[in-house]
Amino acid sequence: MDPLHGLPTAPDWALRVGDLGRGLTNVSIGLFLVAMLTAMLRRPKVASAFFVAGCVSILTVFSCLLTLFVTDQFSYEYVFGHSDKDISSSFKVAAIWTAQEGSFLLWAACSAIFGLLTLRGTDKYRSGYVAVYSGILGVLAAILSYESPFAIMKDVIRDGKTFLPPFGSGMVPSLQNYWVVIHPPVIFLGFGSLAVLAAYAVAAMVNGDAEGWIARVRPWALASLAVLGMGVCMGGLWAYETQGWGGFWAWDPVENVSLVPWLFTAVFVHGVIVQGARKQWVSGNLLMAGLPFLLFVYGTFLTRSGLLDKVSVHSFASMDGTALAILRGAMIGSTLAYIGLWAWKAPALARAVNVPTLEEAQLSREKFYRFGMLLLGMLATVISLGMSWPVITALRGGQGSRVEEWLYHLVVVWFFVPIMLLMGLAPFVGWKGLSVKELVVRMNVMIAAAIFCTGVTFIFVQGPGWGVHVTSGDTLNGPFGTRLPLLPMLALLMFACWFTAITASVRVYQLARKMQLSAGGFIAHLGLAVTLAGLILSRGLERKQQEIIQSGGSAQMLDYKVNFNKVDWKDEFDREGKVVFDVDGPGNEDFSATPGLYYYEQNGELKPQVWPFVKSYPTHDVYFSLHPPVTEVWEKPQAFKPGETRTIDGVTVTYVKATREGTPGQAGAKFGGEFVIKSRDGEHRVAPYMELMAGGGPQTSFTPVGKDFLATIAGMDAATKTVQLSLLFQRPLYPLEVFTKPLTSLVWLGTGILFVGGMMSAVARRRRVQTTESVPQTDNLTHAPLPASQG
Amino acid sequence: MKVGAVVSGLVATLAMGGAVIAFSTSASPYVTIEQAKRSTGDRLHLAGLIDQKSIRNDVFTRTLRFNLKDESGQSIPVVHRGEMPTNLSEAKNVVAVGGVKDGVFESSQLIVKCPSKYEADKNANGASGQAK
Repeated sequence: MDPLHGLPTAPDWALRVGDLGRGLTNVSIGLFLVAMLTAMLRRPKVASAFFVAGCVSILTVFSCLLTLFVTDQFSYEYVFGHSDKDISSSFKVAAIWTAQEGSFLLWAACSAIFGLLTLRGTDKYRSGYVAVYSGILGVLAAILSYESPFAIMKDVIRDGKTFLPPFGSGMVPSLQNYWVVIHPPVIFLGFGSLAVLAAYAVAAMVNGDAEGWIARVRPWALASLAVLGMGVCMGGLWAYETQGWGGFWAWDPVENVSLVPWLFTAVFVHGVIVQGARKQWVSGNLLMAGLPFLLFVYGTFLTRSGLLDKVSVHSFASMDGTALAILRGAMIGSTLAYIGLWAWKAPALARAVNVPTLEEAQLSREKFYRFGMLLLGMLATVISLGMSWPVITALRGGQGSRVEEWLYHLVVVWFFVPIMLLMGLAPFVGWKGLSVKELVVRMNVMIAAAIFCTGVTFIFVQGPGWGVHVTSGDTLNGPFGTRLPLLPMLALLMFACWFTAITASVRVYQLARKMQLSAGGFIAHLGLAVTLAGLILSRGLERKQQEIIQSGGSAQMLDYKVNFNKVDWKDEFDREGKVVFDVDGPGNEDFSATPGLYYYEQNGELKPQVWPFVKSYPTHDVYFSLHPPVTEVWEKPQAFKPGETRTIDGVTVTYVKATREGTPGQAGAKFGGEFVIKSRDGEHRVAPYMELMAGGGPQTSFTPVGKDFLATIAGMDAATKTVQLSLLFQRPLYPLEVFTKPLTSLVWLGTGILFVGGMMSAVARRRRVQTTESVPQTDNLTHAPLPASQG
Repeated sequence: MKVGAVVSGLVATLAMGGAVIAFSTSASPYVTIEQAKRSTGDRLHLAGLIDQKSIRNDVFTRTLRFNLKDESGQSIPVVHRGEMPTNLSEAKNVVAVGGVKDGVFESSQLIVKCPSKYEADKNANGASGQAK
């Protein structure tokens, strides 16, 4: 039958919207090209006009795609492939960025938004700024014209008419979660904002002015850091809530691609502070402003090109060949151009800046900042190296190798501890400097407090009701194949977090009394310390146990008695379907755990989708990861010849003989076999059969085998009497994994604090932009977020 | 400032050197079946196609058995003990992590890569699962 028979034709306006989207993608390439050329010819007004027009067309392209998704225009291949009629409207919007084309468009749109927001403040940097920004957006538009989401499916076009399928093939079930609605826009806003920093730096180098741009770029750098940081954190929270392995961060390449630019942005933000206060680090800032953007482009290339296919759990489509070539060309070209320009211009520009001479103290805040920035930059470089390791090692021949989670942790910890300590110390060292002895005197109370708090943490954490039981012999992977004792390592990390948290709180208190919004930076430090402490404790002291619970049964898992209650769903396709377990834990921890379970159809087969369940207490999380229920004893039906005896997966089956009742070919005729089935439950003789039904096909019996199984005939060869036998569990088995994760609440709390602090300091800087250029004060203890690492 | 530069340089060299040494010595290699048989490592990453028909899952002992075919077309039996991947039935490509003992690849971790739902060779991002 004709699949298009009876379908309505696609509305005319929808086809026009698609044409508009496709057309404007190409138009914007032209607009950005003109903007770039006129900007290079130093015609900033004309260039700005074309730039604004280009940004507006990119945003219009996004609106076109949004319209097609929201109104279910399934004639479009991209809409058909990623959306469906009956998913909620927020998922229809989110479906836009669930694949390659849409996520490139989201990147372009977010960059365009920041382009429009920043343009006015660029003043004398405008020409260079617009030229670079137009170049970036022009390349993205060019990629989009090859990776277009506006293609109409060939199958729905007939005789010049375009038909409209009634539904799409749906959104990938594992993505259907509220995080898919909020996480990608936030993180792509962060990625989009990186273009601002790079464009400013190039404009500064082209203008030959390495000073004035700092005050202008500063609020945007802080905003980038806050938004991108929020995006990175949200990614971790998303993984925790849905992935079912009980963690936030797996050092997957896709995660690292967002972390590395964030770390370099943090370096830049601190470099800006040094330059603002001491007119130092001028050349470093010109480089650091570009690195976040360049490394994001590099990471995008690595993950989208298929080079890391074996390594990442995220699978990306292979990109259109031309689009990939454009991306590769832009990556190599922009990196070479940027580094080349920097090497050519930066040294002279740095020398031209008049540095106030100050007496060299033993310690000064500048030294602490430099050292912190160095470590943070090295950390980012090492993570990039780890992420590129499969590609680097594959170049040497062979299949390459991969850096696993434990190895990342092993390397990262050497940066983490000093970075955290510097974060705590730097704010208490004036720009003018002081001696080591003075610093120790100034800090001794805070150091003592941090040691005290670390001790208290461990006393509390070891107490009952926190789900922690560490035996003194527990170890971690150490360098060169050694093992490190777990508790002292955790104590060291906790001390680092406490120290940063305490010192940051002291600074926040001091600044809050002066009503200074710039306390935001230290609030962010506090948030970071809290987040990292949560990550370290919840992963480091995690306990887990896996059991299989049969429907109606129960199991003791860690300190919890887990009783199966029921499966709660309207039918198996109910997306709100849940498996309900009654949990009886220590103290007052009695609750229902309801991990999600439903089925969807794919290529005629039922596929399960499961979601974990998290019970959160202030002290700890209890995390339930459900695996799809097992109903079949064997993965596939097994063939038996008459007289044959075989043991499969612990069940011994003897096919005694074939059985037959009634007249073959007529309704009511039964074919089957007599079996002796031996398992843990004892020995049982059963005779499952298939019955020919009147007007229908054969129907199979489900014959109980003792208390455990059902036997059913999946097929039979009349000539050889060979039977395909399936064994099912009478009561399905639910493989369940339970984790206890102490103080996971800190991760949520810290993330919130981090974002609030980051945004506060960005707003504070924005207010100051017009009034102050730079403040060469001697001991102005304001300023912004400091180094960080994701543990 | 000169002392500072020397210290910075030293720290940077040590950090990068340390990381490169750590990665070179401890990163887990991807191997072919031929290489896996010759190696004594226990964090070898063996990528290959899973033979769906050969999957045997004994839920009581939590042992998963299947045959894996690598790029060269060679095949090896795999025994996986540990956490079960949630989506093995739709998997084609898996990475088994472990080592070879007596001709059998003993895996302690299975990384399952799912072909996305709708595009067999042009798949969307995200649809994936990992057994950790």
